[in-house]
Amino acid sequence: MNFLFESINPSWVEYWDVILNDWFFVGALIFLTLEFIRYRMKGRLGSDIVGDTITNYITLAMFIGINLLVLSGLYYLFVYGSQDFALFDIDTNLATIAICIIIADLLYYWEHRCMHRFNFAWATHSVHHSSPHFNISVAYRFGPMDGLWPIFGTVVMVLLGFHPIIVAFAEIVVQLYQTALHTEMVKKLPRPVELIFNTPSHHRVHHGSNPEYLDTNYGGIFILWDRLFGTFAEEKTPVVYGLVKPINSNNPLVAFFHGIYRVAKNVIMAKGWRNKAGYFFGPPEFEPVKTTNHQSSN
Amino acid sequence: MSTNKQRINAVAATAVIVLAGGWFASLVPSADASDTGYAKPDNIAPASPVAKLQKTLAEQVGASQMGKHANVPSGETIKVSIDGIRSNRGKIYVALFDDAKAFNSHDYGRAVGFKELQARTGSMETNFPDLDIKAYAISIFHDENGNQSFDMLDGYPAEGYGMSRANSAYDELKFHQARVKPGSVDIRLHYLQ
Ligand SMILES: [Zn+2]
Repeated sequence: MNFLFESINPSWVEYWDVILNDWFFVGALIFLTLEFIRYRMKGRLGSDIVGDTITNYITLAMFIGINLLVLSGLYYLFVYGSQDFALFDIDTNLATIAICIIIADLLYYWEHRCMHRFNFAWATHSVHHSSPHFNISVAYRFGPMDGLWPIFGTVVMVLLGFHPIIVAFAEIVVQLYQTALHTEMVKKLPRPVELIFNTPSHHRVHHGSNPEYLDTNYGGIFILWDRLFGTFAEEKTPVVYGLVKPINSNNPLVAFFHGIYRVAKNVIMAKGWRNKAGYFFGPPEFEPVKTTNHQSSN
Repeated sequence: MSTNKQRINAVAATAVIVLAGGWFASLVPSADASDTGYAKPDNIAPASPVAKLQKTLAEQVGASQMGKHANVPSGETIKVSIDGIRSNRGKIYVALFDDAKAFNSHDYGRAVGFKELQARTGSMETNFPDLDIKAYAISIFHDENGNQSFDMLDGYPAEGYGMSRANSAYDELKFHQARVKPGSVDIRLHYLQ
């Protein structure tokens, strides 16, 4: 049991981050090949899926570019600014890293739920959901501001007293677990696993545009959060992937910017500040209030 | 669709889990310090379930080492080499801690060892003998103006200072980061003013 509590130098963990991320990417490419063979056998392999996959990786490149150029500075500022106000004195060892991962997963749940329920954040996360397909390359489909929202959880964990590198590691573990769920090849896992953990089945539901599947299964590693907080749905009817209002395009620029374009257009065209606010802060299903009706309504 | 009541409950539950998680992580003893009493089970209110778990953790972890040398002074020594002393003026104070809270709050009154040296430009050495085999942390400051206190200016140290395992002037280490075992320790003094 001793190894659980052996102090670990955070710079080692930084090294794991890189190794884990890179090898996962390689593994995902190999897995994608298997998925393409499956598409081929089912007669579904066409130019649409190929185009969609290429678009996924182009959005990834643009996402990484924005993260490096804009968001990394912001993270640096906030993380090192909040480090001095840490609430607890937390050592770095396997036990505390495990606790950090559980907290990171819970905070991810909320970040993800908020990204679906506020139009200004849905503007970027809807890119990830705009693919009408579901394979591991979709996991690498990102929107322009997707790197921004985890900052709240990051700051919370640094304020608790976890070392910033451990926080980054925990967030990467949650992210990579999520990545592995994007596949149709795994049907259902054993009951206890489906009960506690997020699985490909649960995450297919999350990507569904079927009315009964909308705004469900936000979890990262644990599906328990969804079960506890009333946002869980079981995979029953076949999932129709993608957006309620599809983008019908494989153009990477359309995919990457459609969310921001839609929100900006709605806000500009809306009449009255109440409608503009609704299109910006409201949920995706927000409908404008009739201008003749002066009552306050939701 | 979730109701507002569900949302409020969910947010409240999240806040509790996150805070309790951080607190619990801060109680996790580290292997090389648990045989030191760094996480003494009796320091914690015995009634809480976390304390019980903590106690079992500490027992499991510490059991092997604790049996062997449970806080018996074993005549170990920490030899502190201080570098980068910039002047002969005033005194150099060296404080040795074995308690995380005392070290983290710079509470020199709770130091387990304390040395007052006449400052000498360059480097100096001092020893803390008769120690246990356990984790300590060391904090040093150079009281150049001889007012027997560590002066601050605008929130920054106005006098030379150093800590065990610090790599730069801006490393503000917590006990678990500054921890050293008996043996030789090199500490460099930093002067910001
Ligand atoms: Zn989503």
